[in-house]
Amino acid sequence: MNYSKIKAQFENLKVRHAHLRAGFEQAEARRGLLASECRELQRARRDLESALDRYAGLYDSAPTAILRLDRQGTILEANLSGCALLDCERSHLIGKNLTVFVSTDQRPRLREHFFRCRTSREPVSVEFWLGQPREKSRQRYVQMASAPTRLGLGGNLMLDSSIIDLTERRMVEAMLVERESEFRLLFDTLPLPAWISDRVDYTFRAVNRATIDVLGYSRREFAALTIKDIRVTFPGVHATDDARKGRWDPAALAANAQAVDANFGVWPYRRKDGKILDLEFARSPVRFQGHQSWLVLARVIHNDGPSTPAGTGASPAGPGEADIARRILEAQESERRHVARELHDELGQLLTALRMTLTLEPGADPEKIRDGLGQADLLIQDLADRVRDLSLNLRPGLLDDLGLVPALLGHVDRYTAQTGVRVQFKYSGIEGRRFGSRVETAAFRIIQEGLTNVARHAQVSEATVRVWVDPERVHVQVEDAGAGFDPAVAFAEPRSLGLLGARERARLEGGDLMIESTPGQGTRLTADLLLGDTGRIES
Amino acid sequence: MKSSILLADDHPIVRNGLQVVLAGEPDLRVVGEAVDGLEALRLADRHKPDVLILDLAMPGMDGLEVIRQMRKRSPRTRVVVLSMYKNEAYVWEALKNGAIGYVLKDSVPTDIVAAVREALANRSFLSPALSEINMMAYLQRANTGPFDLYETLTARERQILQLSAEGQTSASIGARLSISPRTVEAHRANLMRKLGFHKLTELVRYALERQLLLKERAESTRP
Repeated sequence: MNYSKIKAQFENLKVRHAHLRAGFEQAEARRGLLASECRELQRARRDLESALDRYAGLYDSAPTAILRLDRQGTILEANLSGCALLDCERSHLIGKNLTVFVSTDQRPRLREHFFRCRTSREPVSVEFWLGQPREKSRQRYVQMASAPTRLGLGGNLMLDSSIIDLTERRMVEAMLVERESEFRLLFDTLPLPAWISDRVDYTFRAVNRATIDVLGYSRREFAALTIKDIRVTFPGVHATDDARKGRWDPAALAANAQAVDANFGVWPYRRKDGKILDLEFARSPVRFQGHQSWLVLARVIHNDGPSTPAGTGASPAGPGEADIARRILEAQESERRHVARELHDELGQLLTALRMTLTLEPGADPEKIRDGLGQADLLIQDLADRVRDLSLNLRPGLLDDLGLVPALLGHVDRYTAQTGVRVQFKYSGIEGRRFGSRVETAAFRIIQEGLTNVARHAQVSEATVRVWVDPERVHVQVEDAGAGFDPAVAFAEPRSLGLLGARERARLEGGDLMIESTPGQGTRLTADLLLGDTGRIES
Repeated sequence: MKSSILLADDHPIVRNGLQVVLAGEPDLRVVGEAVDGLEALRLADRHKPDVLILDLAMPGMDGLEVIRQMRKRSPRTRVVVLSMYKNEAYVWEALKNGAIGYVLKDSVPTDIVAAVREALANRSFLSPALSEINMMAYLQRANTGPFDLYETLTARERQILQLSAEGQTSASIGARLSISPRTVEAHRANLMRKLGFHKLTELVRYALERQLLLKERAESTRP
């Protein structure tokens, strides 16, 4: 036996054993690591599984149908909502092409959609009907948005599509459209011309059939016109331009100033063939298609009375109506003439004086300039006051806005300032009440006329105005202790249209006007107006 | 806690201007803008603002009506009127209907802020240009004193009132005045309606009350 050999083998063994042991220990360590990695992995896998569960839950129960399609539209995956929408089990869905679920006439739309997706980087949308036409009630109108995606680099193109059901919304839209067309029909078939114009830029937003017939323009032509093109304007409308050019027509200015912003009235309009028509119009502010607009209803007025459009078979106006219409127009004309005269006499002269004051010679010295400007300022102030008075005499804003008491208080103040006649104004039962525009206007005008007569004829320095109510009527009274006159003469005389007008106003409101007067013993004008159902209490 | 403000004016420039002015106030917050009365009421219902800045002259609903409706529907909203009307009548009507402040459109921006703050403290505010003196003068003119229905009777009616109260018959009155008894009765019916009487005894008592005064006066002027 070779001892050294054995020793060598033993040493070998020892080394081997050490290696093995080291290896074993390494293996142990590695096993420990692996085990802990394994635990982590398991934990991660559990997390992943629960996340997958959650996401799967989300995905499946999402209210939107989510499908994964290939580039030709074959269904690769679908969530539960998608299955519900397509009314098919998941296992049957997968592998079918989406076009199977739509009618033949819708298929080209879908195919075009898939084609577009192939070349798009962004999501693409399409709307279509799902379901077969033979089951019309089960058809759904849907919108599908497809996002193109690739799995991995160079992978196949796929579409992640979500589908929303728009059926409800479409039904509501259809109903709105139907309702809107009902209203359009109503508007369009009104027997009188009616239109809607924009309050800011005066364009026509809508015109009905009667407007087209009466004015002669087609609907398309109206779309390119404005109210200013149709309404006849007089020179002097844009007064500053015309005045600068040396053209200044006071009558026209007056007429326009009065009527251009009225909500009711008669105004000439130009037809397409150039003929001028007088239209009586009524307008009110509305909001139309999001724009502040006017809704205008109009009626053609002929010289022999107001008319309805031709072709409706209505009989022409009788002589009584024609008479009234003529008188109304005459009264308007005489009012315009009066205003025109006042403007010309009072304002025309002032404006001329103003112009002269402001025309300065070149090289005039500062002293003169300063004087001139000072004078001009005084003239302008005077002018402004007269314009205000004129305007307030025409139509006091207080009456429309606040009612009889404030309007009469204001009028009485101005009247005393203008005529020097002091007025005692007494009233009862009308505080805080409005009576409707017609009654208030009539009451105001009658008192205005009464006071005018006092100033003109009575030769007194004091007068009394009374206004009171009983359950059915409002009463007004103007009294003075002055010269007096014979009432019979006053009404018969054609000059005093004012009193006739006042009586007419009272009668139009279901009442009457009475004058008690004897020469030398003062005058008392009393009128009453029916309240109707307009006497409401406000405060 | 910021105080909430609702704006109502049909001019965009005005609304814009108000926004700018109010933006500089850290404790005030604009919660909405309306362009007409109906929208103002709708927005007020929704937001229940502390203050409403209201233009009187908007199209559609009358401004005073808006104030009245606001008092009914949102009583805790104070209404500050912003208006171009200087006339005392407008101011009075606005205040009477429930507005707490009135600011003129040509006043300085600080006025509107002051008005809002006063309103929040439930105090009224009028633009300095609306002097109290003018308001008082207007109110004095507006309170024109007691109204005597007797003055509204015609001369004929007064005669018949007196004679009827004395107890004379229609026939004798008619004879006295040279008119028919029917006419007398018509006049009497008219005057009783004017004075609100239904029975003759009321007429008699009324006449007595006045005649007595006349008798007293007559007696007191005797030397």
